[in-house]
Amino acid sequence: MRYGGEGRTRLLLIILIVTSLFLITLDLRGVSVLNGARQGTQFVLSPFQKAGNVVLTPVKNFFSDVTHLGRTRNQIAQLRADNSKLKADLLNRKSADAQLLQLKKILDLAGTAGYKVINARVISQGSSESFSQTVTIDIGSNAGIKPNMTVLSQQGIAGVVKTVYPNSALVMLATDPSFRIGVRIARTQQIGILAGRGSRSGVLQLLDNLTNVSVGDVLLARGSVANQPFVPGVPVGYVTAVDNSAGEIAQTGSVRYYTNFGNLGVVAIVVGAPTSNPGDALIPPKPKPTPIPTVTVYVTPSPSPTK
Amino acid sequence: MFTRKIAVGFSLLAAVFIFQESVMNQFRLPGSGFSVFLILVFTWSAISTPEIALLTGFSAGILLDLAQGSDGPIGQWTLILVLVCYGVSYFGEGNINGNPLGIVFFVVSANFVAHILFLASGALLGVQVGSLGQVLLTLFGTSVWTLAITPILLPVFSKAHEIIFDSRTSL
Repeated sequence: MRYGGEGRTRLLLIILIVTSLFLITLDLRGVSVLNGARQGTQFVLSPFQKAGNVVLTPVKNFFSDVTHLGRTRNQIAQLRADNSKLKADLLNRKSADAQLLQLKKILDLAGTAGYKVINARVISQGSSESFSQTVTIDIGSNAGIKPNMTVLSQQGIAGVVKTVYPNSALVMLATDPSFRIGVRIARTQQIGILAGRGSRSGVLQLLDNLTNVSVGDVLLARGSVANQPFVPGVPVGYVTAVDNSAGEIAQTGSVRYYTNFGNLGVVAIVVGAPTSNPGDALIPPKPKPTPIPTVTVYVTPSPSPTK
Repeated sequence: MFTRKIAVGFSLLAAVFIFQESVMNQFRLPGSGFSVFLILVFTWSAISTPEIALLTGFSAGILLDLAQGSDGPIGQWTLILVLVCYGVSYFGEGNINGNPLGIVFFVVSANFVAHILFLASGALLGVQVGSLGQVLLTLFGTSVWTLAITPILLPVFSKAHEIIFDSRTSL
C-alpha cells in the first residue's frame, strides 16, 4: 500500500466491523438509544423533505406526464368520451325533466276532468314542405289510438288525431288552417266556431248575433257527438281582440290558444271521455298581474339665482 | 489536519445524504433509480486510501442506517459499506491508475455487491425484501442507472475528493 501501515488499516477494518456488529446487536436487542437516533435523523430530514417535495412537485408532474404520456393520452381520450356521454345524459335528463313537468300538468288536467288518457311523446314536428300544422307522436293503433281523438297538452287543447299508424300517429294541431272546433264562452255560454290560422292565434266566429264577446273571455271546447273528435270542457284559449264591424252577421274575434305549440314534448290522447261534462272546471286560473312599482317624484323649484 | 479532513468529508457526505433523501427520493424512477449518495461513497472509496475508504464507508453506513427508509437494524448498512468500501479500495489499488472507466466499473460493481450483501444479510436478519422478480428488477435497474449516472458525477466527486483529501489517483 502506498501509505504503508497495512496493519493499521486492518486494525481499523476490524474495529469498524466489530462496531457494526455491535450496533446490529444493540438494535436487535431493542436498545432505545438507537431508535432515538433514527427518530432524530428523521426530525432533521423532514424539513428538507418537505421543502424538496414543494419545490420538486412541478418537476415530478412533468416527468410523470412524460413517462405516462401514452397512458395520459388514453386517459384524456377516455375522460373526453365520458364527458361527452355525461353531457348527453344531462341534456336527456333536462329534456326528461321538462317532459315530466308537461306530463304532470297534462295528467292534472285530465284527472280534473275525468278523462281517460294515454300519454305520448312528440317525435316529429311535422313537415316543413307543407303548410299544415302537424306533429307525430310515438304511439298508434297498437296502443289503442284512433282517428278523431282529442289531443291535450298541459294547458289545454293541442289538436286532434288525424292519421293513425301502428306505432305512430299524426296529430293535426289546433293551429292548422283546416282545424275547426266548436267552443263556448265560459262567461256567457255562447257558442261559436274557432278556426286555426297557422299561428298560435285563431279566429272565433260566434253563431249568435245577439250576444257579445269581450276581450279576456275564456273559450272551452263544446264537445262533439260521442266525444269525437272533441271531448267537452277542454280549455282552448282566450279572446284577445273583438271585431265589431257593422257588416258582420255575428261578432268575430281573435283567440290566443293556451297551448304553447312551440314546445310540445308530451301530449295526452283522450281515449275515454268523462261520464259527465266537466263544465267550467278546467278553466285555467287567471294570471295574477305583476304589480308595477310607481315612482313619484316631487320637484321643488329652487330659488332663482341672484345676480 | 487529518481530523479536519475527516470532518469536512463527513459534512459533504451528510449534505449529499440529505440531498438524496430530500430530492432524489422524491422521484420514482423505473428500476428503483439510483443513489447519488452510494455513487459518491464508492467513488471516493475507489480513489482513496483504504483508511479513508473505511471511514467513508462507516460514516455512510451510519447515515444510511439512520435513514427512515432503512428496514434493517442499525449497523447493517454500516457493516456492508465498511466491507465493500474496503474491498473497492483494496482491489482498486493498482487497477484504476487514473482510468475513469475503471472507476465506473468499480463503482457499479460495488453498488451491485452492496445490494447483494444487503439482501443476504437482510435474509439472515429477517428483513422482508419482496419477490424474486422484484429483487432482480431492482438489482438490474439500479446497476444500469449507476452505470449511466456515474460518468456524469465522477468529475464532480473526484474534484471534491481532491480538494478535501489527498487523492490516491488523479483523474
